[in-house]
Amino acid sequence: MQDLSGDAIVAWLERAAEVMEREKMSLTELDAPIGDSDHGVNMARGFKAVQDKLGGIDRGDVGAMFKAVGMTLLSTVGGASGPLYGTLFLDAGKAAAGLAKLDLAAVTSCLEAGLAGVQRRGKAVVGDKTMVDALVPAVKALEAAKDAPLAEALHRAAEAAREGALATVPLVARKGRASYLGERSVGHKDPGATSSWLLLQCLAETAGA
Amino acid sequence: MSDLVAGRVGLVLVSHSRALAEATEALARQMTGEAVAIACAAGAGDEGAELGTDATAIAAAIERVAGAGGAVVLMDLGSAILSAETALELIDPEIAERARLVAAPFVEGAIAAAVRAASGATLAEVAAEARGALAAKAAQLGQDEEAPARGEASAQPIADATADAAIADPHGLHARPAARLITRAAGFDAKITIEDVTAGKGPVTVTSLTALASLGARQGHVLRIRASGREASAAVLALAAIVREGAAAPEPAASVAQDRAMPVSPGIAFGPLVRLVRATPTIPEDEAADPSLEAQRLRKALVEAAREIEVALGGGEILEAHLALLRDPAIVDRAFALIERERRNAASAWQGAIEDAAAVFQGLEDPYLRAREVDLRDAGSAVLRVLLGGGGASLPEGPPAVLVATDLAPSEAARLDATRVLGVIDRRGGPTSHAAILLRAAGIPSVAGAAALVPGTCGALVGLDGATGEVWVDPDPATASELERRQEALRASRRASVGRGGRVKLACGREVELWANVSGLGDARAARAAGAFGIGLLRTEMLFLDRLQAPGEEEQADLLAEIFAVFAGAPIVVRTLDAGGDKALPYLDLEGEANPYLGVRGVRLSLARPALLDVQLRAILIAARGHDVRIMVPMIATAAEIKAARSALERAHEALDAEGKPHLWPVPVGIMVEVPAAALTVEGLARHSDFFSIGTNDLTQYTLAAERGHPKLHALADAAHPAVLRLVRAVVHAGRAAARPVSVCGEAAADPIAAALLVGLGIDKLSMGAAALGRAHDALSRRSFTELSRAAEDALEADDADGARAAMSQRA
Repeated sequence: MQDLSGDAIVAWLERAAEVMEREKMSLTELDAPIGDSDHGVNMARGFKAVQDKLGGIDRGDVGAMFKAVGMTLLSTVGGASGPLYGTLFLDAGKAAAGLAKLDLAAVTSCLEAGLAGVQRRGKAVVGDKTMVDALVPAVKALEAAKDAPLAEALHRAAEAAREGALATVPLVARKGRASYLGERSVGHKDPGATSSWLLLQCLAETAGA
Repeated sequence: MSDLVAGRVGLVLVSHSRALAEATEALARQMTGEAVAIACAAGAGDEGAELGTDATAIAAAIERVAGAGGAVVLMDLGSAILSAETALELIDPEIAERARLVAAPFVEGAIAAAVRAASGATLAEVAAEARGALAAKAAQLGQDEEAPARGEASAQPIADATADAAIADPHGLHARPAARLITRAAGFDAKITIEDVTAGKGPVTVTSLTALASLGARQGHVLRIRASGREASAAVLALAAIVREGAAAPEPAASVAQDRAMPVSPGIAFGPLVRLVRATPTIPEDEAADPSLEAQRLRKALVEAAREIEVALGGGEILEAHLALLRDPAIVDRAFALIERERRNAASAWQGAIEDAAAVFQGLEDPYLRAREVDLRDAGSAVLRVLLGGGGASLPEGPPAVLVATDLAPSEAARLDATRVLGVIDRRGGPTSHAAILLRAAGIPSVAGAAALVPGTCGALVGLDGATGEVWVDPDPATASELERRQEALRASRRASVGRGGRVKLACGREVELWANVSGLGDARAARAAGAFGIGLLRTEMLFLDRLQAPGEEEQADLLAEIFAVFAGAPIVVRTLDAGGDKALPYLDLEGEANPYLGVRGVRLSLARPALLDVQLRAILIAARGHDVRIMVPMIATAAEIKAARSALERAHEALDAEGKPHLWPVPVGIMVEVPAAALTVEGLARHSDFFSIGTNDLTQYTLAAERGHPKLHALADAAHPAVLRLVRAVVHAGRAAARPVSVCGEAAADPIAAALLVGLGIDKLSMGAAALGRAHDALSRRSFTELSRAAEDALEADDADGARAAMSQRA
């Protein structure tokens, strides 16, 4: 696949909704010892709402699609992931405004903009044991793969996100509900970093299909 | 704005739990009934039945209750805060402006805010009431409200505004920008902290230089500035701007060669070696009989030492950094604590506090920051000298010599007499020390880090090359005579540079006067030594900055008289206070401005504070008696402003007459042309003005709408831009028609190509920093006016500053 069309975006988000539903319990299990045991349920609810919305969506403007996804996540996720993933998609939508499809450069700027939005919102940096730990390496991998085919670049980004999520295991949480646990958060993988990886994994699979 | 106060403030309750929000609303309504609009945005999922928050629901709630009076938003925790922040981005910015997310306890804050809002209070008052809502509970339970929240994770201060900024300065957050942050922060009614997000250090409060330095924040690190209080937003904006500014002046890189010292200040010096003798007073060890008396002694010594340092350093950022050390709570509070708790005497307590702070600097990784230990000890020893008596460092009497010092302190460097000190070898130190900056400004050749090359005891004759770092100890006769020859050649060229009465003669015979910009006594001496024609711009801000009270008439007059005496017999242009939104003066209680460069600054501030202007004008007139002093008014945009300033001057003169105080009268009054409006209306302004001086820095900033020092707008911040050059030409023509002299006192005068363009446009008076005089002389001396004016004509037609510069350099 050379570029991500509106159809491909829909396919990605549908796949994401399925995966979130499937991984609902395992994400919630990750969240149980260090959070409020709702991440999986929240994400599944949010992406189910996104899926419901996709049917009637105009696929000609990726920016508008991302905006609709962002607004839906804001109002349905419930937990901190709502404003964070919501902002990610809203800001990615601004970067993609008016585009009918995304090439690698456009995907990269979308994710860069989305990450910047997440950091503006959550004020987290790498090492705080949050979704930023997955997104930052993913963005870096995309930037480094700028000459690679799109699917390959997205695959590398998803790999980087997975490694970033795994790397959160030994960290002490410094943001969000988990930060109340301090040292006791050590030894648990961060659920937000994990869901970020899942999203990127779905995207890579969509592009590679 | 009036309807903003007229409408009552509304309340938005954001909670994970719908039940909690509704119950809180009910509690508040018990107090206020329907007098206040309250909206709940709580819960997630269908009907808000699940625990969670919804940014779109919050946005709708804010829009519902934020009338003209605005809305206070209270949140429980976690996603409630993130969703509320997101909501502000979703709504109409004008409504968002009137919504305050308040870090208050949810239930207590809601009730306190509702009651206050019902009384018709303003948004800020309601927000403050909510924030303070825990005080009553804490008092009831007899607990300190500010008890630490929880253990290991450091409790974040509650912030009304935050901003992130990456450090642009290549040396990181070193003493000078740190001092600026502290000075600037003091001007706001806000509690401000800074943390290094990149390194995960802090937060520390922006009152302590040592605490800021202990962050060890480097270039590129992101600093998070948080503020709470009335002017929180303006404060974080202003501080973030300082963090984003680059270094004021690039510092030369340190040399790596082993057999050389580090070059510090270019030039050749050769002569007898003398060592700096420091009188180190012995610290008495006796216990304080009366701690409150010792504390009193220390307080007075701090004030006295600050004055001493001010005289020695004469203004500028190095002075600011030194003064900030003397006010640093980490040091001062520690000293007072040592007096109080350990009954140490004032000197011993102060010394102890300095040693503790020095240990912080020694522990830092960055050599540049570590070098600030020298500044700390310098500022510290000024206080000890006041407490214990004894002079500072001194040079042995004798012929001119090369000075060898270990860690030359800024106050020592500032006192060096260029006629007696041929050059300086610092056995330690480095090119980025404050002493090095002062040596360069004074044009004294110098090297540093020479301990291995100049052992502690030996040597009778020594030579140095400040450009390469080479050092010669007791050289052989051939080398010695070669060094002598090069030193003499250098001194001759420097004498020639501005030797003929501060003028440079162009190849065609036309003469251009080279004046100096001066900010203090040290600058004035350097300018005199460099042979400046006169002082083209005496900045008076140094009299006003870094203090809690405006200086009195006598103090101002004394300091000005000292500077005037240095240029006795030569013309001196004194600029009235050029402060305002961008230069905070705590005692003026200035309001923070979103756009300080477009705000109440320069003459606008002076006219708004007539008492301040009156005292300054009286001080200038008194000190100017017997000197050729002219007064210049900054930031003039209209004739009314210069007329008002003139009337103020007339009144000051009449009052002094009536009091029988001798003073200079009449005195010429000129305008600083730095606003495009002034440049375009010089003909009219000439009716009220005796001379014009173009301030190219601000004129460029205002003409190109590019903020000075903006890291991304370097290309626009260039006075060689044809638009600026056209304004200069307009001023020159109008000035000539009205028979009013026109000079340039901005930084462009010190830039060889820009200076050549200015002269080409007909400017025959350039004023610049003393260190640039020689370069300007060399850049102009071989050119003819015809050639320069042709190049300048081409430059006027160029597309941009680069094109204009090319037009000049092609004809070089």
